[in-house]
Amino acid sequence: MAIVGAEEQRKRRRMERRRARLYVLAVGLFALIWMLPVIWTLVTSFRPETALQRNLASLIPYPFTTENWAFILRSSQLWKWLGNSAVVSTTHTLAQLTVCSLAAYAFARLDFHFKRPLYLLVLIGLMVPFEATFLPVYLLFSNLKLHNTLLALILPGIASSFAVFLLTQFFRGIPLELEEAAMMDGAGRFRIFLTIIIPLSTPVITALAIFTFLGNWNSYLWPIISATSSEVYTIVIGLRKLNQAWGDVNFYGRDMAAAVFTALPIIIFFFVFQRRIISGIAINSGIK
Amino acid sequence: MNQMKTMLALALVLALLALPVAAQDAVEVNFMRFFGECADEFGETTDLSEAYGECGIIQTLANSFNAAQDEILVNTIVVDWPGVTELNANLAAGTPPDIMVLHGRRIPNYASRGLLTPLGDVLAGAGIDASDLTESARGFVEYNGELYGIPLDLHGHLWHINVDLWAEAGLVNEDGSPSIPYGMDEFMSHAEQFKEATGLPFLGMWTNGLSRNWMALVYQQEGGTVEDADGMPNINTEAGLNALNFLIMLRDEGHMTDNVDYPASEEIFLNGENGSHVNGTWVVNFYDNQVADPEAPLKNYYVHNFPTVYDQPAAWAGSHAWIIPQGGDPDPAKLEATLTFLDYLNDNNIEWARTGHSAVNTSVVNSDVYNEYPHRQEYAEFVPSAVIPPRENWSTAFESVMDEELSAAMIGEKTPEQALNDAQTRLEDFALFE
Amino acid sequence: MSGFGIDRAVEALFGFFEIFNPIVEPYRRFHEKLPPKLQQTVTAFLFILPFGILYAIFTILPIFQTFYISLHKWEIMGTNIRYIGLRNFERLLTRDTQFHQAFEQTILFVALTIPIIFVGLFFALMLNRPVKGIGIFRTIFYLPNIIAVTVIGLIWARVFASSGRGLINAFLENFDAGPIPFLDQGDLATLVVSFTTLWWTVGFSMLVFLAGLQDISQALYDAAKVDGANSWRRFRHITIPGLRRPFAFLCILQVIASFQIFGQVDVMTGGGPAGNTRTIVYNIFETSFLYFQVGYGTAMAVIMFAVLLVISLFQLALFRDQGVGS
Repeated sequence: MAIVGAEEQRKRRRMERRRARLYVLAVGLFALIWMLPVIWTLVTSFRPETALQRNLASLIPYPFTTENWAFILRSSQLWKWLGNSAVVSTTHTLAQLTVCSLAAYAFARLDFHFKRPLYLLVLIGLMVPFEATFLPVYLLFSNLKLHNTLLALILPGIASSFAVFLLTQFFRGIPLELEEAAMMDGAGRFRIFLTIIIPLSTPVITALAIFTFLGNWNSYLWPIISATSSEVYTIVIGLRKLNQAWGDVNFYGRDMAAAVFTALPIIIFFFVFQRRIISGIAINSGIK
Repeated sequence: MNQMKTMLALALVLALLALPVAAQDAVEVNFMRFFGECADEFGETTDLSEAYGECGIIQTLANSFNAAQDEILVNTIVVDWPGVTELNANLAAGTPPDIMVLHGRRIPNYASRGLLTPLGDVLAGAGIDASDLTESARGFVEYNGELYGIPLDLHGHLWHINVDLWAEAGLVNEDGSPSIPYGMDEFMSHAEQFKEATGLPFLGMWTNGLSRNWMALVYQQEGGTVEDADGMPNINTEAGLNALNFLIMLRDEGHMTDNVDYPASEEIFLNGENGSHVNGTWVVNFYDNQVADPEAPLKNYYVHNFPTVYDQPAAWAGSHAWIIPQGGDPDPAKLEATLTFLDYLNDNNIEWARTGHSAVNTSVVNSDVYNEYPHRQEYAEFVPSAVIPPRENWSTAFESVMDEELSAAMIGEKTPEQALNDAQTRLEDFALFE
Repeated sequence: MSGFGIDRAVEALFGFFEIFNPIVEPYRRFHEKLPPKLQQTVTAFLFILPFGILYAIFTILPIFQTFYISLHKWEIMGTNIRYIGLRNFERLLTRDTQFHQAFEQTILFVALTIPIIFVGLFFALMLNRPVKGIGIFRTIFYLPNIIAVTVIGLIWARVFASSGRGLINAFLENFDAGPIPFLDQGDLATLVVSFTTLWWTVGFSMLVFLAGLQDISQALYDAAKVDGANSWRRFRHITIPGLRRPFAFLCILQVIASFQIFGQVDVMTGGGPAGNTRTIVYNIFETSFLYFQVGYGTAMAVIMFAVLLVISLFQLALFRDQGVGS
């Protein structure tokens, strides 16, 4: 009996494994179709222009050329734009984390006058989309003559209601006892903030940092109106500008290489922070 | 004093972030233009004979100017066509470019707001001879009798012809040149004959932006116009309807390629998939280069002025002009440097004309080099037939509103009457609100 | 995180702060005499100050300015600025057919992008299985979401380009079929932009649903199984109610995001064909920068703001009802 049972079980497990393999295969096939445009883009960037003119719809990079890529990688502009993006997004993210975590600490831990109305004022920001108020912000930067500077791309959005809200929620969950103990030792508020609150909040801060960075890197409306000189384009805007030739040929392979070049850094970023991004979505959406 | 140092460093970093471009010793002239981004191809080229196409030539002009001297550094800022968004933005920011290319018809919009430098008095000092400008060219850049720009071309739509295909359809003269139809009957019989013989459409144009061709067709009709005596839009007219119905008919009868945007319409023509193609003066040089490629499907290329379908020749035209915006910091040294560069550009007007555009300086127009440019004689009739869009405040909206409404009629979303009526309403609303 | 590094940095920082002692010390003595709540108020304000300044400048002030500017004729170059009362709104609501079309188009985009949530749910259910190797697909489907709109728009505009310069039409050409004018017919272009948005953002919905699915207790399913509930009934009575919160969250987010569609349109269609894909934000952009009427553009922003505010309040009410977000 026992032997038969084990046999049966093995069989069933084999069946299950086979079914699982089939399932993964089916999903894989679907994923392949889903990503077909990306694969096509990648392949196209390795095909010579003459071949592309004959037939665009091919997934075989033959004849093969690295000319498009050589051109893109030689381009001083693309590297400069990439550098701009890196500077802008990094500075923006660091500034947001600093400014918002400080404010969040006050809202989470201090009992002070006007706390409720002030916090409400912060929450109002959650309901004001940038798209509704960007024109006065634009005019403000005009008056300050700050357009076409990296600073103009960094400043808006540093004071994020969402960040303060998220951090306040998280800080509130940190046990008070830790803080009280430190206070007994004579630590001030700022020291507590730096030595207790921040280290204990690394998961939420990392998640916030990643999404702030991504959001700023990918932002479109603001940089496209503020940055009108190629000196200060971010890579996202630069790619858009490269694609607007009027009365000139389309360099198909080159455009595709530029598109991949633009996407690549952020894809690498994604694979480095993959786990945190995926768990971060749950944090940010308030599900967990 | 450690903290002071840190603070200073921090302030320095912030200041650096705010600095747009590192300043050089030379006087820097910010030169804003469209015509595309080609710094990667022509960024180092200084030899004008190596340059081709609008972008290549203009980029090389700037390069060669920079290379020839070291007092002035021209810093090219490439913007999207038509550059108006960026100009507005930079005027708003009080950081207008020192010199910029603008379409002549937009000059009144800016000149009337005091945003352009009047050039009448300053040109002579810079050695620019405005009297060399052709009569019509002057008209493009004047406002209230004052000169606000230096035109660099007269550009407009031409008729680009695939001669081999025309020959196949028996539409060539004895000398092998295409036999150009004149008037509706000839045009239609050409189109029929062409379709019969080759099975291809006779004509191509980008159908998502028909305003220019439509406008030309309106002006080809006796009394046809798009503005009334008061300078208000006058779109919904008999002539307007005729022109639109004609375009729709061409498409419906299979004489015109449909549903194509700019690059696609180019592609179709260069692949020999239609008999002819309406596009601007700016592609003559470029198409000529394409034909030189032995593998190109288009082998025998001819270019004529825009087809005359109605009573008289008329072609959409415009003018690019150099303007000097006002509103930045007035700096005499900068203005002088800008004018020196402007003078250089003006002196090299003949290079720019290589693109296919018509020149605007009498001395260039009469020169042999100019007249011997490839194909130049084939479209000699373009200049006398050129019609520019109204120079009214609503001209900023004219092209985009008309493109949209005409295209709505083409794709069948609206009847032609309704489309013109809507265009009239929208432009009128725009003009009145201004 | 190694506490060692942080501690060292903090000590260094505080060492640096000691330089301020000559100013800070006298104040500290005064500070300690204050009532505790006032003490905390001072501290709190110092903590909030950097945020407060930036927040006031870039969020709060612009709200008021938006309303102020919308009552003016105001050209972006700073020319012809004058108060005109509600005339912008009058033109906007009664005569401006372009704005009406843009508004309708935006609503259409909102409607057409709602299915993203359901596709996201489908993906989540597809991947929510304890099968080895399935994790990688989560990554694959989410990946487009982190890529910039210019790249996404460029790729898909080329997939759908109307002539042989587009992937699909080049493919069809091999069979002498097509071309299909994807981006040259209003309805098709709207669908193409919506589909692109789906491809781009569905990974986000998927991940939110996956998180939601993992929150549903396995015990519920086991109990239902014991009771003999089939898989459909388990889905209907356990999974669906369990996903109410992520669903509400995504709905609101999707509506707000679609209301602000700009990048896809700017990159792929430029608002065309025939103005068919012009959205509100695109219209604001055009009006303010191309036609330089920033006063008029701001009036449009006010209308959009009002609509979004209603949606946001709805969101708050909904979240409160369901206890979401806390």
